[in-house]
Amino acid sequence: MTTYIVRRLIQAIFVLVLATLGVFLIMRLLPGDPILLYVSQDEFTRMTSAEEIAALRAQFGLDQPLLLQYVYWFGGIFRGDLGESIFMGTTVAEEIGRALPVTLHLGVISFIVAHIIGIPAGVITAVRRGRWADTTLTTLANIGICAPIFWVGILLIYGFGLYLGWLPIQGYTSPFKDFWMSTQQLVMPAFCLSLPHMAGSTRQTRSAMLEVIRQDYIRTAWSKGLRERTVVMRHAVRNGIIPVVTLGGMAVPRVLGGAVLIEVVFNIPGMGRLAVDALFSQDYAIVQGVTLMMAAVIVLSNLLVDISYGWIDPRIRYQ
Amino acid sequence: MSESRETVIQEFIEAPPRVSAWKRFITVFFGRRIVIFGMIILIGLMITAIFANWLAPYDPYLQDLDNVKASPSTEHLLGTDTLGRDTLSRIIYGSRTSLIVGFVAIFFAATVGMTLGLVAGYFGGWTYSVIMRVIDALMAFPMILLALTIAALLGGGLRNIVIALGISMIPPYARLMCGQALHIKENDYVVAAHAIGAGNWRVMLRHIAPNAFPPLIVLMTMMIGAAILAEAGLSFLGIGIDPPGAAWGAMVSEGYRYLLTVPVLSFAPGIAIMLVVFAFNMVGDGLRDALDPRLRGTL
Amino acid sequence: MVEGDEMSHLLEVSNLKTHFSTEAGLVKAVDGISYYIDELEIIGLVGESGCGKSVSQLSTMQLIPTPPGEIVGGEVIFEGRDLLKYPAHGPEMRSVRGAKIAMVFQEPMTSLNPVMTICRQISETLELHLGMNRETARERSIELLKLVGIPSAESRIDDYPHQFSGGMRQRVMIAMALSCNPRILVADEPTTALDVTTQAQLLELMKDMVDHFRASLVVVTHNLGVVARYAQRIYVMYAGRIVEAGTTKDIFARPRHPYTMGLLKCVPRLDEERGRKLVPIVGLPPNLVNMPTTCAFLPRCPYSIDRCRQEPWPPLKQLHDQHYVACYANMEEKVGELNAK
Repeated sequence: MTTYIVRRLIQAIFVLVLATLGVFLIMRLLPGDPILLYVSQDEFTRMTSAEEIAALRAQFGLDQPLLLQYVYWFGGIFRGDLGESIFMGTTVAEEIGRALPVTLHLGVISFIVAHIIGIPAGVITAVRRGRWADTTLTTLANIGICAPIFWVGILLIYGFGLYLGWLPIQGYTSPFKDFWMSTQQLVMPAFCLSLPHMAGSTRQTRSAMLEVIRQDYIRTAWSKGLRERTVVMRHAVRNGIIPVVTLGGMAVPRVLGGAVLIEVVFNIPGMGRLAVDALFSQDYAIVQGVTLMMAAVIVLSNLLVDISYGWIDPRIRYQ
Repeated sequence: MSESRETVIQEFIEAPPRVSAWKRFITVFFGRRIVIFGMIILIGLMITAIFANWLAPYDPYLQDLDNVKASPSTEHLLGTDTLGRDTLSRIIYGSRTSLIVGFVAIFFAATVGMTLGLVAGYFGGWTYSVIMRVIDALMAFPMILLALTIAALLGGGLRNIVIALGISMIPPYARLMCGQALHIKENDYVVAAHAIGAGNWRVMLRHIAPNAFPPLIVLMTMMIGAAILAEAGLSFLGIGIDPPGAAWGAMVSEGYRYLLTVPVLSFAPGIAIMLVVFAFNMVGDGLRDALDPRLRGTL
Repeated sequence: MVEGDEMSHLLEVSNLKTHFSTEAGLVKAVDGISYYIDELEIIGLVGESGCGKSVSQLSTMQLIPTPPGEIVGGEVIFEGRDLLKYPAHGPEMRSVRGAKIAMVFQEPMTSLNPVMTICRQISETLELHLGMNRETARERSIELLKLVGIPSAESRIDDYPHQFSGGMRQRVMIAMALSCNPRILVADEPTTALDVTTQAQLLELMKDMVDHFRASLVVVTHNLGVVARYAQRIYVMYAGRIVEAGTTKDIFARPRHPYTMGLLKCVPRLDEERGRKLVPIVGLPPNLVNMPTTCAFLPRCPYSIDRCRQEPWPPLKQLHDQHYVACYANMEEKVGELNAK
C-alpha cells in the first residue's frame, strides 16, 4: 500500500509541474503587455519614459528568458513567495491568502450538501425503483444536471432576495466575524454550486445501487432472513459506494469551476472571482498563483480518491 | 384443435424468433417517454437553428431605441433588451451559437482526444506515460477555468471559443479511448491481425477504433450538454462571440442588471439553455441504454 | 399430486406455480409442482437448465424478485403453516429464512459479499437468529469453519471472500447456511461451478454436515450423477413440471418417463458394456413462453402415442409404491415395448 501511495504522490507532483508550466506559457504567450496595460492606466497621472518601463519590467522579472522566469517562480513557491500582482500592488500570496479561505468555505459546504442530499436520494431511487419516490427524485436529478448554475443563482436572487427579501443577495462575511450573516449569505450560492453534483451523485448512486442489487450476494443476504434495512445499508450500500467515491473525486474540479461563476454572480471575493478579474487584466502572477492552488487541490483530491479505493475495496488493497 | 398437429409441434420446436439488432435498438431507444420527449425537443432545436431566419419574428440585431427594456407583450412575446432588440428573436438566433459551439467543440475534443487515447493505449510504455501525464495536467484544471484561460489567450470570437472549449474537453475522450484500447488490444483478433503482418496504424484504425466506438458515442452525446453549459458560462462571463451576436449566456448576463424591472431578460435564455441541455442528456441516456446498458453505471 | 405417508412431512409443497412476465411473454417457470421432504431425508431435484428447479426452491422461500416474477398459486406447508400466505419480507418469512430453511447457491464466486469479512457474514445470521453477541458469534463462526474443513480457521475468519478458492468459498457458504441449525438445507446446483474433484469432496461434506446437524437436504442439479450416491428420492422436472418421482433405485434401475430414460442414456455408467453409444436427447428445450397444452416433451419423445397428441399434459400417476410418472405411453402399459428400445 505504501509503494502505491508513494508512486501516486510522485505522479501527482509531476502533473502539478506540468500544469503550472502550461499555464505559465499560456500567460506569457498572451498578446498584450501587462506593463503597458498597467502604465496606460496611469496615463493621466504621468507620462512614463522608456527607461521607467524597462525598470518596471525588470522589477517584475519580465525581462528574463521564459524558462528562467518559470524556474524562479517555482522556486519561490517553497519560500511562500508567489510574486507580486502588477495591478493591485500586493503580493500574490496576500491576495490568494484572502481569497482561498472564502472559496474553501463555499466549496466545502457545497461539497457536503451535494453528497448529504445526493447519495441518500440515489439509494432511495434505487431501492424504491419504479415507484413515486423514484420518479420524482430522478426527474429532479435530471433537471438539476441541466440547469446552468449562474442562471439558477440569478433566479434565486430574484425569488428569495428581491421578491421575498428573505436572504441577502450578495457579498460574503467571514463566519468568524458574523456567523449568522455569513450563513445567510452562503445559502443561495452554496445551493447553486452544489446542484450539479447533487444531481449527478443521485444519478450515479442510483446506477451503482441498481447494479449492486442484482448481484448474487444480495440474494444470499435475503436468503439469510435479514431485514430490508440491513440488506440495503450493510450489504448493498457498501458495494455501491465505490463508484460514488470516484464521482466525489470528480466533484472537486466541478465545484472549483462552478465557484468561478457563482462568485461572479453573488459577488463573493473568492478565488474564482480573483481568477476572472486577473485574466481580464492579464495579471500574470495572480493567474499563476490561482491556477497553482486549484491544480494542487484537484491533484490532491485525486490522490485521496485513489488511496481511499484501497481502503474501501479490500480486493485492491491486497494487490 | 383445428390446426394440424404437425404444425403445432413444428412451431413448438422452433426457437423463439430472434429480433434484429437494429429493431432492438429502436425499441429500447424509443422505449422511454422522456427520451422521445428529448428527441422532439432536439428536432425542434435543429429546425429553429436552421430556419431561424423564417421563425424569428424580428431581426435580432434590429435596435428599437424607443422601446427598450419592454416587458412581454403581444408585439414582443418576451420583451426587448437594453437596445430594443426583440428577446425572442435573439433567443432563436442564439440557438445557432449554442448548437454550433456544442457540436464543433465536441467534435474537436473527440477527434483529438480519441487519437491521443488510441495512440497512448496502443503503444503503451513511454508514449502512454507521457500522453497520460499531459491529459492529467489538463484535468488538473476546472474546465471553465481552462477554457477561460485559453479563450483569454486567443481572444473572443466563435472559432476561439470552440477551440478553447474543445481543448478543455479532451481528457474524458482520451481516457476512455485509452482504456478501451488497452482492453481491446488483448483480444485475439488483434493478435491475429499482427500475425498476418498488419502495420500498427492499420490495426489501430481498422480493428481497435471501431470496436471502441459505442461508449465513445454515448460520451459524445452526454458531453454536448456539458459543452453547451460551458459555452453559456463563458459568454456569461464575457468571453464569447462578439456583440451584437446573440448568445444565451451573454443574454443572461446582460439581463442580470435589470433583474428587478425586466426579469424575463435573464429568465428566458436560461430556460432555453436548460431545455436544450435536458434534451441532449435524455437522448444521450436513451442512446446509452440502447447501445449498451452495461454502461449505465459508468457514463 | 404425490401422496406421501399419512404422517405429515417436514415440508410439503402442493401445486406450486410461479410465473414471470417478460418482454417475450408470460413464462410459466413452475407450472404446478408438488413434492415433499421428510426429516433427515436427502432428495434430489433433477432437470436441465431452465426447467424451473431453481425457481421452485426460491419460490418456497419467497425469494422471487416480484416485479417480473410472481408466485401465482400453490401451498408450501412448513411446520404446519402455509408459508406463501405470509408477506414476502414480513417477520414470519424472515424468521424461516436462514434459521429454518437455508440455501446454498450455485456461484460461490459471486454469492459472498466481497467487501465483508467471512466472520461478519457468518456472524450476522448468528446474531440475528440466535441472538448471540459479537464474541460468541465469532467463536461459533470459527467452529463452523473448522467443521466444514477450512484449515487455519482462526486466522482465516477475518479474511475476505476473494482470498478463498472456489471450493473453499462453497464450504464457507455451507457453514453460513448451517450456522443456525436449519431443518432443511437447499443446495442449488452447489457443485456446478467447481471442478470434478472438488465436487466430490463438497458433496461428501454436505452429506456429513446434514448428518451432523440432523437436517434434511434438497439437492437441485442437472447432473444425475450428483444425486445418485446420496439422495434417497429423486424428482425429475421438465418444463416447469415434475414428470417422474421415485426412490433413487426406481429412477436409476427402472426409469419410466422417456425424458428420464433419455437422461440416463446420455450418461456413461460403470456397470455397462464398453462401446455403448451415448445417446443425446434430440431437439431443444422448450420455449417456455408459448407452451402448448399437450405434453411438453412430445416433440422430443420417441415413444409418443396418439393420446399424447390429443390430450393435455399427463398427470402424475402412481406406478407402484413411491414411483410416479407423468406419461400416457406408460399408462397404456406399453412398458414392455419401452424397455425394449
